[in-house]
Amino acid sequence: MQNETNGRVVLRATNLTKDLYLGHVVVHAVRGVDLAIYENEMVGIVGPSGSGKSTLLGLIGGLDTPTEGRIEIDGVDITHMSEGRLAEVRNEKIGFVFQFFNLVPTLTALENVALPIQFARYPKFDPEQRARELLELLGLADRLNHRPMELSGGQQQRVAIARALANNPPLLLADEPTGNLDSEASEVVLQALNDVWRETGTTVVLVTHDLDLARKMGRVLRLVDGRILGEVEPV
Amino acid sequence: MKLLRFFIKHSLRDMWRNRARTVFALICVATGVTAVVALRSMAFMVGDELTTDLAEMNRGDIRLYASRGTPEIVTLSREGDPIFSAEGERAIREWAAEEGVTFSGARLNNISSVRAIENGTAGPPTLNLTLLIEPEHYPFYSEIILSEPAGVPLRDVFPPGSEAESVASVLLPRLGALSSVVMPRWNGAAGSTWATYPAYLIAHPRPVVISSNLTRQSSLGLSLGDYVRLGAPDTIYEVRGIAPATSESILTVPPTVFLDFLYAPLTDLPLLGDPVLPEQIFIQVPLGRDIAAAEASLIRYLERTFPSRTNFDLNLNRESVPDLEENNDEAASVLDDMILVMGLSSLLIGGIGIINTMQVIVSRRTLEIAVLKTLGLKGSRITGLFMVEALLMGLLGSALGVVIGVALSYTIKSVGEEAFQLTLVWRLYPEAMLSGMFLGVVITVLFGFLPTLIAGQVRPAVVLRPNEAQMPAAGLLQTLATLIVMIVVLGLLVDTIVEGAIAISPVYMITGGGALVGLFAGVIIANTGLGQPIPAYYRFRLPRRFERLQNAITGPVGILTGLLPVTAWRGMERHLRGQAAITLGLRGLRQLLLIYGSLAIGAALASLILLIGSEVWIPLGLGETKPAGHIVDAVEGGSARWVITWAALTLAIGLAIRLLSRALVGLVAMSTLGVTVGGLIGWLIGRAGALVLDGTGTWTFLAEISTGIVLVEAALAAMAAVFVGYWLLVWLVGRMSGGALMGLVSLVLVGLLAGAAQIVAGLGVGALLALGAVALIGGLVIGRTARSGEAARPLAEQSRAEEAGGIPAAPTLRLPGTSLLMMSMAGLVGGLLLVDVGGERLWWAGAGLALLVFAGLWRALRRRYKVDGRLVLREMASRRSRVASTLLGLSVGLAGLSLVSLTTGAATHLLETQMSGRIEGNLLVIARVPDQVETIEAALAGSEGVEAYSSYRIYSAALLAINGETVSPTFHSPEDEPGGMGGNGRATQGFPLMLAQRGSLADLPEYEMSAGRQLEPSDAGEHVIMLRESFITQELGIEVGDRLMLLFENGVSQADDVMLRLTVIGLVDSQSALTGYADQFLVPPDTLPGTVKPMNMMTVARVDESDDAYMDGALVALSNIPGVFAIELSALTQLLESLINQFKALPTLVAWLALISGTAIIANTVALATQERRRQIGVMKAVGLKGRRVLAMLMIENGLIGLIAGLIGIAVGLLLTVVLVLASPGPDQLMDALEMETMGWLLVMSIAVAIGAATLSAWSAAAEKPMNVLRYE
Repeated sequence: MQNETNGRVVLRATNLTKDLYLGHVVVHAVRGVDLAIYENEMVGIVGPSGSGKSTLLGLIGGLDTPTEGRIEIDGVDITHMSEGRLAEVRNEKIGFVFQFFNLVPTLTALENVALPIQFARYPKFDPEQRARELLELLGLADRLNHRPMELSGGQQQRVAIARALANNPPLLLADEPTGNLDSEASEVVLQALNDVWRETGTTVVLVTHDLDLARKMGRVLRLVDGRILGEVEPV
Repeated sequence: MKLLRFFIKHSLRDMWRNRARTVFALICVATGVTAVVALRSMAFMVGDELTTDLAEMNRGDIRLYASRGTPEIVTLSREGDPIFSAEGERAIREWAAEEGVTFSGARLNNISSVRAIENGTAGPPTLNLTLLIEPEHYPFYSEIILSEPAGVPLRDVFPPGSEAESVASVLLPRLGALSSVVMPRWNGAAGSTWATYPAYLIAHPRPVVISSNLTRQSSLGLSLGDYVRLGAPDTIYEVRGIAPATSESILTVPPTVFLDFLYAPLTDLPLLGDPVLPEQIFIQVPLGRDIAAAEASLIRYLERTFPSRTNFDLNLNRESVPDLEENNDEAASVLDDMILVMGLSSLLIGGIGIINTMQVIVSRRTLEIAVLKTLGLKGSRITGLFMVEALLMGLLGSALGVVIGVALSYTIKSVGEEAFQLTLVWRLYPEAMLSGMFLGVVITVLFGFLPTLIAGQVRPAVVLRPNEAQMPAAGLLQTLATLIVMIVVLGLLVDTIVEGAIAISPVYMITGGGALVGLFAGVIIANTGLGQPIPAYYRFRLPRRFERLQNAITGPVGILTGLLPVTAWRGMERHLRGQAAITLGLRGLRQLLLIYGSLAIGAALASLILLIGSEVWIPLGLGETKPAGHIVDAVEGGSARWVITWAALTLAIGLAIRLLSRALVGLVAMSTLGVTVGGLIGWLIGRAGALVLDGTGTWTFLAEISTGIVLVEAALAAMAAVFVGYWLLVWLVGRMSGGALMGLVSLVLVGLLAGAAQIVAGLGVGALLALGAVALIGGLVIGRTARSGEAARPLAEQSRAEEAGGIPAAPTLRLPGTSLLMMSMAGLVGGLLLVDVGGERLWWAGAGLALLVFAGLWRALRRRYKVDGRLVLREMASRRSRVASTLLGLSVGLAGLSLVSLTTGAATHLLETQMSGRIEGNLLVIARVPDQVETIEAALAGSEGVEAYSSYRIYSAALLAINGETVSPTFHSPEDEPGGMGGNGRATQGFPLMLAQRGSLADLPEYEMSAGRQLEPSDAGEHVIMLRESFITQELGIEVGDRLMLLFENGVSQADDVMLRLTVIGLVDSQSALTGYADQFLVPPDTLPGTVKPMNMMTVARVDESDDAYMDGALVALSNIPGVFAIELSALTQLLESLINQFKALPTLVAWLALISGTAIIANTVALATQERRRQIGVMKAVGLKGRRVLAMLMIENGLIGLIAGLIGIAVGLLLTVVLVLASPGPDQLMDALEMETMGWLLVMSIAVAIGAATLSAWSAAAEKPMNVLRYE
């Protein structure tokens, strides 16, 4: 997978630090991480369990606030933003794909994908039409009106990818997207991510413990004990 | 709009998906709404009866009552009751003719004995009400249609008859009686048993119409064509018709509530020994004419006809339809408000269930909320989403509640009829339904508000750690804001009901609000770090960004403290020294706060102990003087002993709290501080507001709403206090060991078995043996189960020994626990059988066996199920708030039920004891005519079986002055409007009381005197009086030696009144066991002048009860005396008991509705809890726990909640009952008055309700397959 960058930074983290207080114990989950991710990149962040991957993802995704440091998403400093503003940023600029899919069980695939558009302050698309287009792109044209429990794991994850792209965000964050799938489904999902990256130009950051998976990205960063130790040669 | 549509759709889908949870939530709302709709509908039914067909109810447009205060038109009957005089009746008839209105008279207060005549012999008498009416007119505006002969109007049964007939009917019997002296009486067949009665009367029985109840009376059992005698006279009446009992009611003729009635013509009065003069007059005003104008015209006519000082407008007792409308409208409105409050309380209990449900909904969807937030939905919109769901649940639950409430209102109609003694007509009441809907939605939204606020606070980062998803805690500001909103909304609701009935200053409202908010703030802060002990390693430090401020504080403090001779701080840098000093200061401040809080709680509890102690001091015989009720009284009264006692109690309790409850002392301190600070700030704001805003529209508005808000604040404070108490109780219970819990289970099981055996013993030996077999099998099963755990141990030891290569140990002896258990079970049942036969020693044997069974059972359960007990208690302890709220919901209903049943049971018992054992007799004879006493005594003396009798004259008097000081009047009637049933329209003064003059003091019982002496025969004729101590004597401060000035009403005019001064010679101890009759205020014979007319003459007789014939004979002898009626005291007791039942009908219904709400809450809580614990249960099952043990644990957990709620509920009722009995004249009856069986049943019901409500959810949880749960959780 080749990175095609035009030099515009979509995500920049400077001296990013996050300390977690568990009773009397302080856990330094992320320690002084500096990170710059460019437009149209596919980046993998790999690290063992407990290395701070999920914490880092939460910080750069605006799901959590850092103890120290600074985060910019698409040029916007989100470090000290209020929760309300963060919600807007998440809606407009970031798409999330999770390990356990996290689709709303009572909504159909179409409705799940349309959700972010319906939550937008200034919707850029017609929700239904956009949802339909994305699901067709991801090969789920015949599953539009199915509920999550009627879809396989791979199909659910593709719906989640479509949902993440609903508002055409510049950044897509995936947290162990294949962690809950078998190998065949994993391949399908990875291919889907690749297709999405190619078709839409969205920057993809994938967090995983699986080095082989991460090396399929254009750039691979190693995270150990809350620090970025360096890059790994991609495949 | 689109978003709202999404919210609605999403909420409905989620509610459908989690149907079970939704159903329970709807039930919580529905039970409360059901109570509101059903009770309000009943109130409207009663209101309709009170406010419609008023003319029919009033029996005319204007109803006049003969009463004292209008001597020109009123005289006294032979019995001394006011009736219209001939002149008065004539004047009113003339006015009616002139005015063109219709006149009808009646005597509706004639209580007479009715005796059925069979084969010429009159049977024993029963007391009934004879309604003497003018059949051609009575009643105006409606018609009484008889049930037999069916469809015949009442008036058709009484033919108009000629005047000659009327004369004949009066004269001929008398002539016949006279002629029987001169010539033999002709009576038809020789030897006829009708020989008693004059021939004319036999041939011409008078018509009478009886109420249908008289056909069912066991002693009469009358039917059409039967003959009866009314009262003493010989006149024979034939039952010509039977009228429905509902023809009269509390609204038309109030005494018909207590007595059955019959109709006879007014013109028959001479046959009953009275002139044809009415006691009530009904006026019918032609349609279209103004009733008020007619009334005014009557007054003017009377004033013209009888020019005197009498103010007829004020003194003529009357009721017109407009008056009735106004009074009844108000009564209906008050009833509606009262019932609305009762229904609202049920709804508020349901609100607890709503909070629980919304909390679980939010916690179960924490991950979903986090996902929505990652998609860009803001926290406020998340709140909106859940608010919509709460609203939908409120609407659906309320709608369900309305439907059930309407159905229930039909069912409880009979309760309203019992309570208010009215016939109610059921129909749909839209106002009740709408108010139920409205209140249901408001309560759901109000109580669901905080959880929805919390939903908006879920951190989106939770989405990355789904297993750690937890519901965030409610923020301080959010909780306080919710509390304020709740107080204001509920306060406004309550205010619309009470409508400023009590005026409360807004200052108190704001102070109370401040204190309540402070309390909640304190409780919340106590649960944060601030409420926890300061760790040893803590050093005072502000966040880094406030470093400069920190240095600015620690620097000067460091300098100052450098001057102190503290060795530990020598050589320290000043900032560090300052830091250390501030840390020490903070620790000291915390200790001060803890001590303050502990002492404050100690002071509150000490004051409560003082209050209770002062109330029970004298009844318990601890002293003769009632101590101060609270500390302020004690200080003002200079009672050093009680001040010291209070201070010592405060100190002791405060220290105990401080030292023994380390885990809770932070909560105590913070909440006390919160109340103090909040209350102070509230008071300051209130005072400032009063100064600035007094007189303005804002302040007036605040004053208008303050009543409702203060009431809500008080209710919430009480609920919070109870909740905290329950929370502490659950905390305590949670600290029990598993083995102790099994002991409790064993105790309950043995108790149930013993109770069952007691009941079954009444069915016979066979049933008891069957129970024994069941107990035996149960013992076998438990024994075997317990033994299976024991058998494993020898095997384990054996295998260990084998592994070690040693010789396996010989198997140990089987422990005797199982056999003991089995034998004891059977022994208990057998023992109880013997107990039933009798003998105290056998009772002890039974108790010993029960103890043996308990020991065996406990041993078995403890060995096998201790761990289950531990799991149950840990689970309860981890959900203290949820368990406390469940306890609150369940115990309220039980407390209501126990209060009603125990107090009324005790009151009934006291009544029976008072009436039967203490009243010197079992037969009460009342005469209205003074010269009947000798005749009565002669009749009693001549009756077989009469053992003793005492006579009294009862006088109505008013206490005007004590030692020359005027006694305040209890009411003043000069300004009262005339009219209203029962009023006498005459200006009264002083303290009204009933006074008795005993016929002889020779047979006066020996009293225990608290002061002075009792009356002696030598006191006859002296101006002395003996009183029994009561709240009256205490309130008025009457002591021995006091001179009482009494006024005796003596006729219809004040000019006839007599004043007398009597000296108090003795006060009978209120606890005195021996009591006579009417000894509250007793004077010696011949003390009162003969001109003073008594209200009644009473004779109390003791009749041998070994044979009913003795009592019947006495009653028959007495019924022949004109103007006298006799009643067995047991019948009177029954009447009073039925009154008690009437009063308790409505409170019992409300208590049951509250209990149903509580049951819904417990079902809801268990359902939610088992849903939350599915994963835990799945894991336990995966490691080997069997389903039935899971079920047993859930049953024990909920049974324990039911037990605690039951004990608390019973304790409430028990406490009030004990106070009631101790304050009564029969405090020695305490143990007999307490109904242990009722308490037992309430406890069993509480446990059964709790277990039953939990069964469905628990069963499905126990049956859940582990993989299902672990896969999808």
